[in-house]
Amino acid sequence: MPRRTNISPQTLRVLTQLLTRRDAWHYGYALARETRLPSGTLYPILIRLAEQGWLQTKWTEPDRPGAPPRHIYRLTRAGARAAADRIDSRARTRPVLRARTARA
Amino acid sequence: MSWTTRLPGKVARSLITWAERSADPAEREWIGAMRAELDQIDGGLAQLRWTAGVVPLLWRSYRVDILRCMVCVTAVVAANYSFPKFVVTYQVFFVNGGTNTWTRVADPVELFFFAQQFYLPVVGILVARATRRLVPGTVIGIGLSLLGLGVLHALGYGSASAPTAFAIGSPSVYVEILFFALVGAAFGTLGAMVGLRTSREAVVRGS
Repeated sequence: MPRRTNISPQTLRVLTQLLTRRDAWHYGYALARETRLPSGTLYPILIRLAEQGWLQTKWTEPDRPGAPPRHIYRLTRAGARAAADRIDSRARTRPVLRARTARA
Repeated sequence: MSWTTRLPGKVARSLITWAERSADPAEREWIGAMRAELDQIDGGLAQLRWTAGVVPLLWRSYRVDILRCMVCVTAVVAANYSFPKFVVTYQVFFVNGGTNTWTRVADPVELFFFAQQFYLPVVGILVARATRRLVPGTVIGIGLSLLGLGVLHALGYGSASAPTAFAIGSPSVYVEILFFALVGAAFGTLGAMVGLRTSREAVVRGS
């Protein structure tokens, strides 16, 4: 059985946020504001999640001419399953997180 | 909009563009993603704070190189601390401007010590560029440094006329060999590391 990797509270916040609107695509800056994480913490987490195959990424066409294309993110099916599993097991020991995920 | 608002924004944009160019291809896409978000952020200072986030991404690119570099520098410093020949050479060339009394006795020896610190990294760079691997740089560095020890003996290193700091056999010949091997490995590895990094970047720029 593969060993379960430990997940930091920051990663858990990102996963929780991605899971709240599971099928929607998320922008980096919006994710940073929603999770209240600085970009230097958020992007290494996103990179790790993408490397694990938990995160799907793509570039979008710019919404106005001259603007650069933006990178967007959403959980893969495996990522969503794993995220729900991790959040659930953490919530069992952390009541505050359980309340947040229940609201979501 | 005042320059105090515009300037941090411009600095942020320049920094993130520079970081994108300097990073490994794997991280480049992510730094590009961060750059694309800059337009959404209001205020130059907020953009600058956002840009500061590239540091951990650059660390991801360079961490192996930085750690190797630290190991090599530690090896050379430790070797010098326990066996201060290079320190003596630096003192002769930089502090005393070559006028130290030792130079009267041990000119070729000092010159050789001094030159070793340049040719070993250069050899490391060349070997790594030719083989595209790090280990040959380390191995050739060790070999050449030990060869240097032989040359030093031919130059009178350890002779009765040489000053105490250069006299061979102070602790034992094995310590000499270990010292030269350590320094050769460190300088060879450092050179090879630089050679590999620069040749990789040249390939990426060329593609």
